Amino acid sequence: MTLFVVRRLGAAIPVVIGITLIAFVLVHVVPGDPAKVILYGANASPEQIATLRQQLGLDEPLWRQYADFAVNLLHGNLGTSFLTQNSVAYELLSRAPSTLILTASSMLVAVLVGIPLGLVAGMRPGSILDTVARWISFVGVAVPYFFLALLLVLVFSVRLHLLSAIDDGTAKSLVLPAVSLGWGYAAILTRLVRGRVIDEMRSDYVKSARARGSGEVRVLLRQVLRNSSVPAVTTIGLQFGNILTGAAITEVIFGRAGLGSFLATSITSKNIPVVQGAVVVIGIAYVVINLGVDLIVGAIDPRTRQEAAA
Amino acid sequence: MNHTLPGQITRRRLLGWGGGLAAGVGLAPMVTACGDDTSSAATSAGGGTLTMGINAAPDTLDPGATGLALTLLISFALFDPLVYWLPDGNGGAAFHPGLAESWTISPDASKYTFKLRKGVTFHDGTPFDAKAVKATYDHVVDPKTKSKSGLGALGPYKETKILDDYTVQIVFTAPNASFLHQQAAGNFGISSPAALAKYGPIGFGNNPVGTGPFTFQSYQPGSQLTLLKNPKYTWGPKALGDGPAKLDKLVFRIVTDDSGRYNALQSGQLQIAMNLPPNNISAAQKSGKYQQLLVPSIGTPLGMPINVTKPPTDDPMVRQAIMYAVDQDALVKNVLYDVYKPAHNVLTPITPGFSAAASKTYSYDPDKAGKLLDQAGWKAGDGGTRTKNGQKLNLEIILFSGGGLELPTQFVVSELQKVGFSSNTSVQPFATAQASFNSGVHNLGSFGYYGADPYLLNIWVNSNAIQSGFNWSHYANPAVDKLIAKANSTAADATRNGLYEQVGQKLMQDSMYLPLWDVAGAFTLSPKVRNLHQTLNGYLAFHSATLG
Repeated sequence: MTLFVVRRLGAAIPVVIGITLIAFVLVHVVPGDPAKVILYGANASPEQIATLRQQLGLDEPLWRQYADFAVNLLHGNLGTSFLTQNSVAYELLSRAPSTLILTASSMLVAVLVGIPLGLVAGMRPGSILDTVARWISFVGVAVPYFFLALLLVLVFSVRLHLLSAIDDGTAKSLVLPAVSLGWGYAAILTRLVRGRVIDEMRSDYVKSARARGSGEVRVLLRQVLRNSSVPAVTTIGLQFGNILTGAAITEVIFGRAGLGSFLATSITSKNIPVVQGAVVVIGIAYVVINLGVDLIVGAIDPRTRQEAAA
Repeated sequence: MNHTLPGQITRRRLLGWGGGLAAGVGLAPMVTACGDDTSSAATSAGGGTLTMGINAAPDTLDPGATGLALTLLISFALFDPLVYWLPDGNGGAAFHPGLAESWTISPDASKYTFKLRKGVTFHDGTPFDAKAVKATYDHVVDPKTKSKSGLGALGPYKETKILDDYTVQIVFTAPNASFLHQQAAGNFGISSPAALAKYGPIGFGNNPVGTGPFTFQSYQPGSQLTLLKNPKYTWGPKALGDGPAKLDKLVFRIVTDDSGRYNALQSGQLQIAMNLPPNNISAAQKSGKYQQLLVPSIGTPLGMPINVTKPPTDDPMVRQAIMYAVDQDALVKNVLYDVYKPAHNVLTPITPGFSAAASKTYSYDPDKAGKLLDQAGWKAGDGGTRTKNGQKLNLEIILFSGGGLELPTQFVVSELQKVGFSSNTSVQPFATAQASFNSGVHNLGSFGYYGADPYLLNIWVNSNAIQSGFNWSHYANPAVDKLIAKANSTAADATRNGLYEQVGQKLMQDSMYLPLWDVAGAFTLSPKVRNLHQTLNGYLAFHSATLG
């Protein structure tokens, strides 16, 4: 098991290096000069712009800039933001909790809504409950989360004054962003779990469990849910990446200071150290989450553990 | 000249939606521009927390280091300049003693001597004296500070001489007539020398310590800045109110999304929303629930630099045709919900040196535009687009995203079509657009500027600013360069303004800029908010603000 974790982490290193390289190249391919962006409106002479370029290290050849970045990274140093002069690590750390909380609570919404709804619907396909669940998931998949977010704000904040339109640090102000971002994933989970439950309910071991006299609830939780959850967990893990993407837009809509909105603004201002740092952090988060998913799936389903170890 | 933000959200302010009500209709009484007696009207007892939604995150809280206009807004709450320069409520402006009680300027505008106020203390308890002034100005020019707008705004700084504990002389290596305006615009809020030493040139940006009406409490990056009342504040200018601030707490909440700010205003989480887009402003006004404030700024109106080197706009007649073809009044009325003031000049009317004559250079006259194009050899052809020697009369239009010109440009394009132009419009991220503008691949671009002094013209019309600066008209006129330099070395106001008026007229005659509407700060506020004051850069001062 330890070997498995070590190997997976080892494999992640070239992945992270690869994404920093791609991010570095992409951000340089886009025309524009960070020094000029920074000095826009500053009544700067060409000499001042040249000095700033030098200070920022932008006059160095590209390979040199990347090498500096990579060496610093190995020392755990992500560099200094062009815009604020604060360390990138500080800037990212101060925003990471907001994104983590949003991502986790959206996932919580997705799991708490999606799995029970899928279970209930799958147990009695064709029932009224099933029809309702299918409609909810249909709408969830069809309506983009940013549109849902705007609708929710309009109804619950602007009209009813029940919930906050922008983040104010309270759990209450997390409700709308978490629901709008989590809803679509809840819908995906509902469909997935429903399909699996329908299959499992027909399987031999369920029949035999029932024949042994197990109660319906026990059958559902011990047999059906456990077997249905492997694809669900894998999906949840994969969706984490999507949720991080969605978090960027959700953060902007709800005025949340998170990594996603920060990365977006840093790209448009060519704040290269921040873009690089954010890409590294998000890249590592991806790798870690995928690793976590593999481990959880292994715990649920011993068969995959053997395959992985092989 | 500093003030700007855009593309990256930050600089958006520069070309961002200004907007607001046409000059003070119904709100003039509320925002007392100056006037000693009106500001502290006997309204409520004061206290409370005022939260204002701003559209970008400050880059730093150190006004000397910042590159963003927004930090100057914050600077007004945390710091005092040596001398305040404030609107007088009648379209003019006046100087008021700040941390300096009086001042004198050498005839060549290269030496400024200030007599300082006694009995002032910084938020950290450090007493204010001449050393603080020297520390502040030396901090701005310290390369370690990496000052962005402050360094440019300061000009040819040589040194600050301490003549005695309460007298300083700021010396420039060359005449610098814009300095008194610049030092009042926010970049040069006097900073605590103890705090500068304690936190260092960069760290001060996270721990600002001034003498202003509010003290710094906390900043959550990208989220919110919280300031507390400074109970000792008694040295503010009378024009901004008397004694300490009335509010207990002033919060700047960063909400980059325009509709997010409007939603939060409606849900009651914000009491002031800054720079909403015109459609939201219009909706807010129709609802009858909010006050709307338009705070004019010194600067260059939002508009389109016309590239004087790229065909077909290298032909003055073609450029003049553009100037006659566009109806700014209709643009403001139809596209901007009438929340702005149409512009016909390279400077806004409150800018010193504004030339009323220059505003009359062109009027809306599409027939004349057509005749000019005829004269220039562009003949009406099939499909409405004029041609000459088989070439279509086509304009390349480049805008930067988030600059607020996307929709108005569609109106401009339709006006130009009526007289026989065709065009391609592309919207690029700020950094990309800037590269395009410097390389000159555009015929029309987008621009606009919040400044402190007419010397701001130097940044975007000077011939040395074409390749890497902000001269996106690619306008190279040594005579104009010299006139601007001469103006900035003239201490006498009337003479200096006269020179800037000449520059404005020349620039308009050369039709190198299509002005659209005046830059201004737009604030949509809850009716509870009272006793705000305007600044000359489109912002607000909270010295005597109350929540009714």
